[in-house]
Amino acid sequence: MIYTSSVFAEEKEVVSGEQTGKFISSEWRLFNRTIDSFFSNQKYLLKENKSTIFVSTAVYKSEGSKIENDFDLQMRFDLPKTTKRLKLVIEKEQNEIKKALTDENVARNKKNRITSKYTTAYEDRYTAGADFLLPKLKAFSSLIKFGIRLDMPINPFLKLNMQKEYNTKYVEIDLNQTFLLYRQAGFQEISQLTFNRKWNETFHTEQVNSLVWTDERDIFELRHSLTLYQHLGEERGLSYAVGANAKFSPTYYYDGYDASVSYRQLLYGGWLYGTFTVGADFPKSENFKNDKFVQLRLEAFFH
Amino acid sequence: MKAFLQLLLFTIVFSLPLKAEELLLREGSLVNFAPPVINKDYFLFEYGFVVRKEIKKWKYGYNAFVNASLWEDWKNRSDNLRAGALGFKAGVMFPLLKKPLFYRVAGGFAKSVLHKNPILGKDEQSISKKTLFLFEAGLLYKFDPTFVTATYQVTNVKFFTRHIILSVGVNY
Repeated sequence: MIYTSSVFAEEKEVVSGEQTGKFISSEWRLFNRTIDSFFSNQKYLLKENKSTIFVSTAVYKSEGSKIENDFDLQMRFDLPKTTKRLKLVIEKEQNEIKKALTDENVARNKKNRITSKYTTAYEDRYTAGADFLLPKLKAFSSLIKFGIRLDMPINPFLKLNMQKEYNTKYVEIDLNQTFLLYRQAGFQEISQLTFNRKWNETFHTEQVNSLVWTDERDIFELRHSLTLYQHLGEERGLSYAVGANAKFSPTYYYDGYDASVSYRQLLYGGWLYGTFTVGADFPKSENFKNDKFVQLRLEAFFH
Repeated sequence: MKAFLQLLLFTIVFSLPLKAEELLLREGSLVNFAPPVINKDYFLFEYGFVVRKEIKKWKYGYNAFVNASLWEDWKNRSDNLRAGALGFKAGVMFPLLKKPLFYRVAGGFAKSVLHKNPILGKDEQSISKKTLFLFEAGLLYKFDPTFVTATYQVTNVKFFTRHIILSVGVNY
């Protein structure tokens, strides 16, 4: 969701070139954010701005439904003849709206449930595009992304992302504003306000508030989430997450809650990670009755 | 089609490995284009990158390439529909016969659609969508910096009935 590296004091000393790379790589969200924040006190992987391959597979089972499998392959190429500000990227881009409105630990495996609410234009798709980092202003960092989804009829998109951090003694506040324009799905906007707090060497919390609007659905939707990350040792961590989703139309109401606990560990070398998640959804459509699920996920990173 | 395959086989069998750096395509960009005037009821545009490689044991130089590809085909269609695809191809080009003639082989992946306007139409008006895998083999003759190609292509999607494709391109 939001780039959180400045929670870690060491990261504040990076030089401007690395800042550029770090900001671009912060867009590689399921790659670095989950890993780094999950292991609580890890530094950001600055090298990931180089060519990278990410492979993951997950098995997801919710109560009363069939086992779902998910496989994902993402590639990020640092091609020659491009500057530090420009990156060419081929990746399976997760739907931004779904990502903002779902528990991130299980978002990829919730495609069936989530997309039933949306059209096919919101499914995860492979995209090819170029990221261009705009000159950093005092007020905020910004990134323009132009790309095309690997789909027919063609669906090019333009994305503008602006970020601003406020660091205080007790908490880091991140503002993140994203505007997206898809040829097929029209205009979308995502506003996020995040509070990060590192309590000690073991615990840190992240509280995220996301507001989204899409041309296609024409209503505002909101999600609040609170996650507590617990550092258990070298490359091992736990996270405890709760979330609530709300809609603004026809009146402001909450249409679902969710809770999950995840355990993540480095399994092999410096590249193979495993995550086990248990949790439950409480959708309004089922009178807030719990809908339990488990997920086992393996992730491999090569760079 | 058989004659084309026989010619291809003949060319491969009687080709001589050689280290002819000057014969290879230069490292850089590759644009391949086939307007409907070249192949009836067919359009193709490809853009990608090409590099030089060598089989050191034989001192045999060749080119490897990857490109993004967009094509549209409406051969023998009476229903006013067209098949279109957008995807990637990767392959190699081996120089043959000590001439700037290359044997070109590639594999690819694409998303395809059957639609009245497969490139610029609306998604919800799609008649059918398929994931496409392709294999192609053919010849490329280089004039430097331009080239012409003749390719035999097979795919797993039945929208595309055409197999032989001619195109022109530029390497820079």
